[in-house]
Amino acid sequence: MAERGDRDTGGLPRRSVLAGLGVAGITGTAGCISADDVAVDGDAEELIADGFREEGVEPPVEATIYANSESDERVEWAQLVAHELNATGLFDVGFESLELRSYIDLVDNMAENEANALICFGFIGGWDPHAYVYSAFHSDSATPNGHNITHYENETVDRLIDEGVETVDSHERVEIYEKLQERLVEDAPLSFVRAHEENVVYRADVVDGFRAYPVSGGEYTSLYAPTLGVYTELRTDADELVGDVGAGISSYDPTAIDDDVSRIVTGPIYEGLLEVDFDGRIRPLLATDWEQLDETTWRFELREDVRFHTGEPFTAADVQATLERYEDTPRERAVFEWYDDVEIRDGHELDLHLRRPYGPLETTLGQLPIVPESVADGEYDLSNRPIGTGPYVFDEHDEDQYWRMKANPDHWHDGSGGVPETPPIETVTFRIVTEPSARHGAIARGDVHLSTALSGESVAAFASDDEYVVDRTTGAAVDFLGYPIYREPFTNPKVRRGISRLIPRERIVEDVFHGAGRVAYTPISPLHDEFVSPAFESELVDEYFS
Amino acid sequence: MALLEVEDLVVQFYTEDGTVRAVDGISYEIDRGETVALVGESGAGKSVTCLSLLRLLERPGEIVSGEIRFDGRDVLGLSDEELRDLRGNEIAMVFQDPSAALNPVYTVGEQIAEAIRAHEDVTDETARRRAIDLLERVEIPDAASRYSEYPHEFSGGMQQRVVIAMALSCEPDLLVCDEPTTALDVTIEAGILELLEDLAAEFDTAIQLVSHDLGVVAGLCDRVQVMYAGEIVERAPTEELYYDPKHPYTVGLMASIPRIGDDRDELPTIPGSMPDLVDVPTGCRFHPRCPYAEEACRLRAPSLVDVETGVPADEPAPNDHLAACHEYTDDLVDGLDYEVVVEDGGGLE
Amino acid sequence: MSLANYVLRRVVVTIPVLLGVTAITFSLLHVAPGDPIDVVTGFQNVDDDVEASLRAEYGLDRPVWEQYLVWVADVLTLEFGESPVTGRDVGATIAERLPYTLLLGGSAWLLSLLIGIPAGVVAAVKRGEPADEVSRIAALAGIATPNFWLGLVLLLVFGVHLGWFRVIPPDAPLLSLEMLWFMLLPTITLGTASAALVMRLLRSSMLRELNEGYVRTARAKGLRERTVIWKHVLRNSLIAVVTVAGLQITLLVDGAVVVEQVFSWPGMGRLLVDAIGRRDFPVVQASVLLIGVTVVVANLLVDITYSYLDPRIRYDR
Repeated sequence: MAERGDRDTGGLPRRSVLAGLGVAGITGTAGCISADDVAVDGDAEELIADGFREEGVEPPVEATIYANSESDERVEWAQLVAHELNATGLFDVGFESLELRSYIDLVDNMAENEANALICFGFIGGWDPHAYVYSAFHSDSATPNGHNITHYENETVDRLIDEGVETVDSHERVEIYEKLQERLVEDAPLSFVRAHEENVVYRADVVDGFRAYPVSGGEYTSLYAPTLGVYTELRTDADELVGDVGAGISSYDPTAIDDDVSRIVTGPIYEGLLEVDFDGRIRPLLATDWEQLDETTWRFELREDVRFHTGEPFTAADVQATLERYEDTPRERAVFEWYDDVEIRDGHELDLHLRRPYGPLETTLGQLPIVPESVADGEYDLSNRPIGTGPYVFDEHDEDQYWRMKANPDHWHDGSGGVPETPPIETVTFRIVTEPSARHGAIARGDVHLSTALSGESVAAFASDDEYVVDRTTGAAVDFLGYPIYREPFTNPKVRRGISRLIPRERIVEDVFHGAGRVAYTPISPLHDEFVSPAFESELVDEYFS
Repeated sequence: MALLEVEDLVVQFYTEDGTVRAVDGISYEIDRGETVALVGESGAGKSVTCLSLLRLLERPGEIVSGEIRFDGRDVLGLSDEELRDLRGNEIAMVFQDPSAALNPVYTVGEQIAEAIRAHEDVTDETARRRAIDLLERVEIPDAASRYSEYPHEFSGGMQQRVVIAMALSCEPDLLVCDEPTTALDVTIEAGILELLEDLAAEFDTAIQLVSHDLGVVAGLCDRVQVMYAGEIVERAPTEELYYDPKHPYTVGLMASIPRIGDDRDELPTIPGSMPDLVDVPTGCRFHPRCPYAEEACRLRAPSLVDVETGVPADEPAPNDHLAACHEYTDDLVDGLDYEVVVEDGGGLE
Repeated sequence: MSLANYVLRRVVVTIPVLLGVTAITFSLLHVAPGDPIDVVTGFQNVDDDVEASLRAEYGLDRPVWEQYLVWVADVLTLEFGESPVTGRDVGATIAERLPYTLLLGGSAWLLSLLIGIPAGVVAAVKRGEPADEVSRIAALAGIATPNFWLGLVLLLVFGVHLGWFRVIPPDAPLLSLEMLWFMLLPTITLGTASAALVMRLLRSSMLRELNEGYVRTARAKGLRERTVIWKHVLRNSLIAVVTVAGLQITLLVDGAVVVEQVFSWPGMGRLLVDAIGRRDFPVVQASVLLIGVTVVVANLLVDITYSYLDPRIRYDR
């Protein structure tokens, strides 16, 4: 059991692999899209044929490409890829869709069963590149321990990943991750297809100032983020903003939260020591200042006059209690992978000792909610009510209908930086709407004012309507095609690279996703422009994709 | 004026094979308190005649012409409301199969009481008491408790008694009994017939009894009308018909009646079968089966005439003996040749 | 045998069926692939000692038959335990959702009768006439239309375009006017197929009954046509309709899953779907058990209604 689990910084559980699940349009049908007008890449075919010769395999090679039936878009792009491969005459690829549970079983066990399967799926990363590569490519992450579904094993890759996570200097990190990405594109155990888009649609006459946040879970960051200089207002006399989430809320406690929806709705209630802004830069939040003392020691100055929703003042003891609370919980590794000890210097200053140098520390702390010590002591139970220092206070939750929170009148912000002292919107309600078409209808009728959970098709429809504001940003999740690298001829990197070149990425983004998201070639989302700079990306494309 | 007058009644059925004249221009009358039988093989049009009296014919059957007068009123011209008032109240019916005639999901008592309530402004309690009373009158033992039992808890004979009680509930002037004992056991038959006879006398009700069995008719009826292929071929007082049948078809029917002491292994039947009513034979409809048929029978249809005078009777008296055979208008060359033998101690009761 | 006796006997016969339902529901946990402990922990990674203590807590270290008996005893006292995903009491969760499903299902059922029975009677009485043709086409459309599609179309037309109905439920108590108004569209969605089914079944069974001898008897008695149809024919015809009512209950349960999804209705159907998605096993188990019990009880009620409608049934066995 020791090695089972997830080591990435985001603390991503196994289930986060279900990126893009449930994005079904109101009229979207799983039909095959004709790809007749796509020109066949002669070099790519040459590469594949070369690989076949090296493996001594005669075309056509048979295989099956899979997608889960719940996601119309995934089903469509899987079929497009199959069509493209079959058009070369080198492959005879069939398509099959499976119900999600069976699909996950197939994906989790494909390497062990040596399934002749091409997999269409997605990874959700986070603010740090480590989140994308460790679980997907490190040999320690072979399923069922992580998400390395093809049981890919490469010493250089393992070494680079291990180096990357322990390097703090950002220039050195960029170098390491560029090297790593080039290696992964060349070897192509998986081919990346598209980076997701995070977007928000809201009624122009009701809402003002809301912005899309790149990393899922932080959707409501722009509701009120004084340190980032953003907040949202209502244009009407009403004092309630109604938003939506696409599934039920299963947990309030950060040590148990395992899904985006729970993270989204608890987001405005909790605050971390640090905050990651819309461009991925680290900002102060509950810590006003911080510095690295040595490789494994960081010092934090904490904000004063901060009170929890219970009225208790926020101090260094709360930070220590918050971190230590993770021990023996399902998400223990999110903290104990790097955490060694907190040394309280005084009420508002502490030294954080790490068990090893840890590159993603700041982004991690930007997503780690601080809870009061009294929770760790058992005085309060977070499974009844979430308690933080955030601008909103939990009000009520009806398990299958809504989640409601009220503005926190005692929030610490002093009104500087052009952001009001207290959140302008008194009440925020999340309606739980599981049916994508109903989410579309609910905002169209005005039952909700704002949606962060619409399908690409719906977003495209609202984008062309003046009554709605659509804000989009590249997200932290990527779609990929996985190969059965344990089976000939997919054992040969030339074959995989050749296939990767044949993937009609632009068409997939434009036709299947209605322009939502962008073409991706690398394992790390181009959201992270230091690690996937345009220059670096175009170099890779020149080298391997044209 | 007779209680019931039927004049030139024509009933047609529209079938896929063509139009069937199930009843083809029959006329008869029934006086108050009189008991008249309609006999003939199945398909002769007897049941259709009965249903016509209450306008109970359903698609595809239809009365196309003729007149039915009851107590001087034109039945065919009655409004729905007047018709409803006639049904069950003045003319009531007893059907062939009592198990089918009763609604399986209501108690027998309710089904009788319902008929009373439909015609008289009585309280539920009165209707109930009268229904129990009727059950007693039709000799159902323990009537009060059996009131709330369901039809399937009764034997066939008892069910028919219930139907009779229902029919008599409003003391109708005419009781139309359509083969009331056919579905019943022979041993029960006698009891039912006896009951009908007693009740008819008691209530002073006229009865139109339909049967294919001359034996059943014999004991009960004052007069008999024999039907063949939608027409009346002979009518006479019961005794006279039995001792001196005038139509060859009636003779054939008589020969097929089982009699007490009969030692024939097999009863003679009339050869052949009823003609297809879509395409009736020319001339006399019975001629293809008639042992005495001649050229004339094929060419011309005989009319119903007085057997003595050979003159068609426009308004025959109840005791007149009429038959539809060319013999009585002296149109047959060879004539009829049969003999009725009356055996001692046998036959009619 | 009196009706009361009959009912008693049917109830007694139902007990082993209910036991069977519990056995099947219980075994769901054990026939699901993998170790039941994964199901209990919601497939999260836990330490060995945590796992051991969970095993002890859920009694997974005891023999299966013993686990079953303990579980049945818990179920009988309405103890469904705690959800490992939400940490909430499963019984309480279900108690919250059940009224929503019961109300929606009940009103859909009522609607199917209120529309299906008169329409079926009219279609049978007016056989071959335009009214019959229209109802035939409507019924065909009703049966052939998938719930999901019908619900979405109703939402789009009456919710989004005309604006008469909200797309998601109002923030109001279940028994408020707003909520009942909102419930109209889901009720129609859920009840349409059942109404069509009731109508067609009733029509054909009425046509059969109209040829029965007792109908002629009733008319010959001088009863009003209204009485003949609605009292005599209908009751007999309903016997055939009630026979398939058990099937209809499953149709409603089935439909509720879809309709609750489309209309964001917080009922058992959505609870079940969500719980399956989250691998929240105690909730799945309790929901499945409840649905199973509902179907069994509904069939019992059908049997009892059947015997009330048709007295012959009570004597046949």
